Amino acid sequence: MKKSVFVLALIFGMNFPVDSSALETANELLKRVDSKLMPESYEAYRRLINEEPNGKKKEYTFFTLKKGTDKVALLYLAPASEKGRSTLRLGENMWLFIPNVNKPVRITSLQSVVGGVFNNADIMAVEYSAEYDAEYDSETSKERILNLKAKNKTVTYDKLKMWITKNGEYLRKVECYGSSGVLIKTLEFKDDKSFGGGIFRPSVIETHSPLYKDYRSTIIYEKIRAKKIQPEAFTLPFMGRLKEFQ
Amino acid sequence: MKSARHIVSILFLLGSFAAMAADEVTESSILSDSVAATSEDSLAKFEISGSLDTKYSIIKSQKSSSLYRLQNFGQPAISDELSQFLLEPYLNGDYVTKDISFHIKTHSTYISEQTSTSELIELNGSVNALPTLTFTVGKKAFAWGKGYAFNPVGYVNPTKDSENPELAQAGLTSLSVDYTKSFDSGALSTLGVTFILVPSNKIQNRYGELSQTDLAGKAYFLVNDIDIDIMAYNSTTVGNHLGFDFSNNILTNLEVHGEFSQFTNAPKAIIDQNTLSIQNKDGNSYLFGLRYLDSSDTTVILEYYHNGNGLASDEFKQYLQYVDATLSSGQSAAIQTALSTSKNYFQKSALMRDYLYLKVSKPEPFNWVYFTPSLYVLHNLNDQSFSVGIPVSYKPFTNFEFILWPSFLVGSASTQFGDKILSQRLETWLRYSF
Repeated sequence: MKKSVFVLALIFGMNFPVDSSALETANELLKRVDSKLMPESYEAYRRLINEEPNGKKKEYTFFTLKKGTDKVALLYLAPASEKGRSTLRLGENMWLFIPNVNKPVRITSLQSVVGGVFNNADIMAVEYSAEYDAEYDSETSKERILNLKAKNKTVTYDKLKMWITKNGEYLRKVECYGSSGVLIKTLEFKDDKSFGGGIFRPSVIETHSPLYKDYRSTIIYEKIRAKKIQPEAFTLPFMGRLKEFQ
Repeated sequence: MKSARHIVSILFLLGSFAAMAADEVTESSILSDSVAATSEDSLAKFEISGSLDTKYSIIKSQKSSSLYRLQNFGQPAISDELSQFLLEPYLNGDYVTKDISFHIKTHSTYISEQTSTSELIELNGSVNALPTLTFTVGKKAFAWGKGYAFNPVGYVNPTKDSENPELAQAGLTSLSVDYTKSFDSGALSTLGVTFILVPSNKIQNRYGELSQTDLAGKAYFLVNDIDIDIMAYNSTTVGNHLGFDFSNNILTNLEVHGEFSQFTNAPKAIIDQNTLSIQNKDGNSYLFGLRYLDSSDTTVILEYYHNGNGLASDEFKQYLQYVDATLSSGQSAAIQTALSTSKNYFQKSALMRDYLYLKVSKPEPFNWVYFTPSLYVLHNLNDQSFSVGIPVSYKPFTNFEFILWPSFLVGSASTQFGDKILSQRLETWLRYSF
């Protein structure tokens, strides 16, 4: 029936709306990918490694709390020079807390507080389905490919192209595009690993960007644990107190 | 030096706790993995951290300025090109659990055995009576307001150095209660309420006047993605203040913020007929600012500050005339009084009424990896004098930072920045964090 409608549309040159059932399926797939990547509420320990063109590396360790679709709080554990800093994301609002300054200041999602290819939105990633609408693009022998369009202009990347394993559960690659259509960066999801408690997901995210030639940044998940977190952990007054949740 | 001994004792005590916890882990880990895991959690609660700043400065003095002559009256003559080598250790101790926490932050300055000082920046303990309700007692550094270089609503804040706003400053001895509530739906996302009781800081024979106990309160709202604070401060010594602030990202790369404060009976020090006069004033202060990030990762901070209780240009001139007249008299007692008056009442970086602050910073320009140059200008709009600095930060290794910081004070005679005791300074910092 769908094919017949499509053929009729071609014959008569009519602009039929996009098949709503296919759109829903793509969005459902995106939600399934999200649920495999992150429990609804969790704590995680992650390392971020920025590799410079000269081979030098800088490493950071974060304690992360996430709740719901769009709340992320992050505490810097290492190196000592950054220790005690924290960042908070509520939807598209982000703040940075520096212990000496002693108060949160607003930051932008495109900025990177750690340098390297990952920006604040990457490090404090929320669920894709909270920010994007999905459509099927195509498929390869192993993967399905989705095109994602930002739900509004405040989302960091205007479009994403996403490669998902054919069983529809594991993310392999995401290309991030700006509103001009320029490829900003590519994220590759690797080394699937069991973290216990039924959490099985890629443990390594590598990124590279044509805008940062020869730079490479990697996030390594060390621990992930589903956890009930009080909602106040995701407020400005608690940014200097995240250690209480470790 | 007495306070330095206290600080060392407290840190030694914290270190002992940490060492004991470490021993516990070693022993427990032999017994069983599960017990060890619990003890590791305990160990993670104890932390000693800090940094050591080593600073070498070259200074060009301004011998002709009134303030230079006041500060150096009766001292042996020295060259106008000076150097200074300074060690500044910052030592912090933290013990944090889900329900209680203890913090100490200290700062010391060492130039020589005879010239060294120590101060407590913070020393406080907190109890979470409920997940949303916290009581804190001790010395705590508050940071009210959204401004970067100035905070007209920072009633409980330490005095800010507008030329280096990120410098840690000593906190306030106080008792405070914080309540925070988060909401999942509706326009209001977060509500925070803080009450602070500030005992008298004018201590005589270890006691202060009960009537000089101050009260402060603040309500914070995150509503429709806008940060809003409403705050009040009640004091018999520094007057009554009522204010609000806000901050919002109006574009993904543009943040705007502002503060407004109305004050009554706030003391203002002026020089009237060569005599210090403290007058109680009513008025208001305000600040508008923005923070912009461009596509090349350059950050721009721009702020305008009106200090309603600041000195007008003629009032500042009267202050300098008083200093000059006192110096001309040659009377030691009068000069000591003038020196004391100057230090106690006329040393703030935002002493006058209207200021413009601009800071531009650009990480890794021209592919200079690990470099972050910045430029700031603090412009006194009343007398057209200004302070300009060009700090360059270089972080080649983890936990090490080099800073080269040339700064210049520019202005004609009888202006705030033109009449400072120095006109140029070149600082080099080596900071090691641990």
